[in-house]
Amino acid sequence: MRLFAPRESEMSAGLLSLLLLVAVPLVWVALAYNRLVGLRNALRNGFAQIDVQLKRRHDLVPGLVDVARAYLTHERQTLESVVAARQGAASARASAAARWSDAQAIEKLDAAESVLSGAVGRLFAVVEAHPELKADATLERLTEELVSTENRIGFARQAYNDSVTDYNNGVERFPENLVASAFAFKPATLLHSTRSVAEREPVAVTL
Amino acid sequence: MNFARQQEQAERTARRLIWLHAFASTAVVIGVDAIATLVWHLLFGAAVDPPHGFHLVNVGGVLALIVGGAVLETARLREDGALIARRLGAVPVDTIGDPLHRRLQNLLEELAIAARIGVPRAFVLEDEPMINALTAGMDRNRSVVVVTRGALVRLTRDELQGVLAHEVSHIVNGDVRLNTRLVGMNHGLQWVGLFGRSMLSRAVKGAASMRVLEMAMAVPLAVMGVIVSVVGAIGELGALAIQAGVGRQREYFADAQAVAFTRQRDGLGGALRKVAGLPAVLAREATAAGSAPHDPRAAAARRHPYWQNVAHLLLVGRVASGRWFETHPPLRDRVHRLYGRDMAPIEPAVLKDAERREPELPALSLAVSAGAAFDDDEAPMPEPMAGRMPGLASARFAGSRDRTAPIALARLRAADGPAPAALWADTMPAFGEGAPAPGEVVAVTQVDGAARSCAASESAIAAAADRLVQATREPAGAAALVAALIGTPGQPAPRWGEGWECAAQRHGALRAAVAAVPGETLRALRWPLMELAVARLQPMSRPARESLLATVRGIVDQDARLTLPEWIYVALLRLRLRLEPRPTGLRRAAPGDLLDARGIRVLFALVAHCAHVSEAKADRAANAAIRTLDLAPIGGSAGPLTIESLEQAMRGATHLPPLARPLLVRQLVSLLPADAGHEARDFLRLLCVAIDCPPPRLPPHGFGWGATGTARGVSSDDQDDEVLASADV
Repeated sequence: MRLFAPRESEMSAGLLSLLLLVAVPLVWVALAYNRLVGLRNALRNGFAQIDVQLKRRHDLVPGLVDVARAYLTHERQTLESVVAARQGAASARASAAARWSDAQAIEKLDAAESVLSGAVGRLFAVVEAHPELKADATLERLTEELVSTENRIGFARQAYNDSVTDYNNGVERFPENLVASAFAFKPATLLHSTRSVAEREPVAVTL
Repeated sequence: MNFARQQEQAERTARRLIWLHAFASTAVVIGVDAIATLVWHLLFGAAVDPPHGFHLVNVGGVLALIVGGAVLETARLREDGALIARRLGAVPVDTIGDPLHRRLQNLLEELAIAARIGVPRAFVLEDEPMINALTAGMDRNRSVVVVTRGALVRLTRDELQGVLAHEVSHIVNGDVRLNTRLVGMNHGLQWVGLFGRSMLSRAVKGAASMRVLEMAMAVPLAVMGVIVSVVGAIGELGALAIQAGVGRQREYFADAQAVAFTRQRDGLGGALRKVAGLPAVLAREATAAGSAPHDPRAAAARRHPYWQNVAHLLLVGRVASGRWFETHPPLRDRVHRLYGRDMAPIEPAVLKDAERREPELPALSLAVSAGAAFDDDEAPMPEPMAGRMPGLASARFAGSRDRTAPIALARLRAADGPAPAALWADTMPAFGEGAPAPGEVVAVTQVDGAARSCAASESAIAAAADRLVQATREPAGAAALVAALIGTPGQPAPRWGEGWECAAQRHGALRAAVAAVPGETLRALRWPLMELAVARLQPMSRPARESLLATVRGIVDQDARLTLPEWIYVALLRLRLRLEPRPTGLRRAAPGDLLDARGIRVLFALVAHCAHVSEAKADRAANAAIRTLDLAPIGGSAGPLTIESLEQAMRGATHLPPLARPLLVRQLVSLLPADAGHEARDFLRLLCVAIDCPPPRLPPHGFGWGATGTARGVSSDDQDDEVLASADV
């Protein structure tokens, strides 16, 4: 009997290795999970940043239209299309903000924003033709803000796409993807700002 | 881009840097000690050993300087990254007043989003015509970016974005932390040299003092001073070499990353090419303005020595001073790497945006088409013309902004040679009705012409006034405006002090704009314009403010007489630019400084004098004030009004108890008749500024933009600025 009983040290070694066998994967899962959570939060933050900048743009457009309206009495149509595009973009933004991971909502937002960009671009083309409007100090300030906002949106998208790539790498790489699928981390979509023709053209502001 | 690897590399460089520094410091310490021992043996012979503790004092002293200086400066920089900016004389951005500042702030906010860092604080070096930028800070999320005025006005939005992206990449890569630490360390090495120099100057002073003890101390002090400053200078050179070695490779990387951030190379590339092209442009502009050409080397030599410490933080480094000390790779190489081939420098003109706020003249022109000899671009209007011919003035100043007046002067084709001014003014309005045939001068009736030119001149005055207000938007314009408002039209250009090159260039054009505003209107505008301009000048560095005041004093002294308005505005400048301590009212005043009955009488007499009120009335009001303020009614009259008695009275008023001040001001205002002139008003306003009391409502003045005011102003332009004092001031 005694012969088959394991010795003290042997038993503790076995226990230790068993413990390690269980603990190491558990620790790894916890670490991987935490890393994914960090990436996902960076992603959400990136998306919220775009949202902030889109809001900024939507807030600027009415001011621009008001200034332009004082000068452009016979260009009602351009102004109205800007106002309509702004409204469409604002509502698309509201619905997309609620469902940040929904690819369809984001597509819709993308399309609405490109319509707005096009409308604003046409407005600036009209402004170009009216020197007295071009010289307006308020318009000049608004233009600077709008140009800046366009850049911010671009940079925020850039930053968002970077974090999407980081996140997707984390979700799809081999051992981590087990954790990701276990805890339902889905890959996120990249933003394609140059998908539509209208958006590929820069907003013509050369005041 | 792998930021993590870059940051790691920056850390490695930092470690190497610390070793290099330790080496340089040891070399300096040993050097001082060795030379001191050598000198000792030379003086006292090889056999005599230096006293006990000789080496300890040498080594300990120098080490304490190096380490102490570095630790102190690093701690200061850690606490406040903006310290470097302020040391260089930069001012924080003003995002409301100046559109160019707004643009800078916007660009930084955009790039902060791209780089995912906190928005750096923006500063502007307002009196720097070169294109440059630097960044500093110990913490990635609390860094500071400083941009020169030259960069703001000469770079397009994209180019400035490229420049700022370069700076932001330095922040992201961790170069800034490293470089800022380097500033602190170099400061320590610099201290050795500074200490040596201060010992020398103390020795010289001691030798001159004729006191036995100090004269005896002078010789060893001088010897030590020479040793320490020579070795310190070598140490400084070492610091420069380290500074140079660290930064050069990082510049290429930051350039590449700037392109990655902005996704275009023309921004940074254009900016670098403009940097290369700028010296030629500045030289040309200086010749056109008639001032000495801008010499970057001389400008660098005149700068604060702290500039040397931050050379490696700049966008483009110091002007070539030998390969070993260049902190940046040569511009050509950087441009070559960006474009893949050599590119010619661009000659940067001042941007349209920036120009719009310059007092530019419309591109008309009458003068050109009539063949007269004044120059169109820079172009102040000939002064005598401006005074006599409001109609003409309007033609030149009613710029494109003016929507009401039909300025069709460009179509005027006069016969050969300059046409008489009167003819120009009269023919001007006719062009609203139809284009004249070339070579024809259309005649209209005198009455119609006069009426129209009046209307035109009104809007022209408004345009000129607007231009003056625009000038207050940034410091150089504000300074030039102050000088233009205080000077008189015919004067030669003043000597501008250190750091006001931009103001000197704009002064002529602004003086012309001031001359275009008729006297009465100008007198009404002078105070508000001064206040606007001064508000813009307040944040400037102290030396800059002092040199501005000196310039203005020079203008006032040119004609060797001091008029009351001149005195008022110089006093306002002195008060608002915070160049003298302001009495707080809490400090005990010397008995002679207190306001007495005589001071009150002086103030009342002066107001009465400017407002043309009888002396008897002034006396009665003064007595009432003396009773109200509870002063001892000594003395009869105020005596002759002099600068001394006036300043004494103003000084006294600043010591009045706070609640008594409004009483005094109200009594003075009650003396003003409804049609009191602007001198009396401005004097009261000045008094309120001086004694820190809210200005009262002054009785409304019958002043408008109307033709009557214009006519009166033109006829009595500068004659009633009464002379207060003459050459002896």
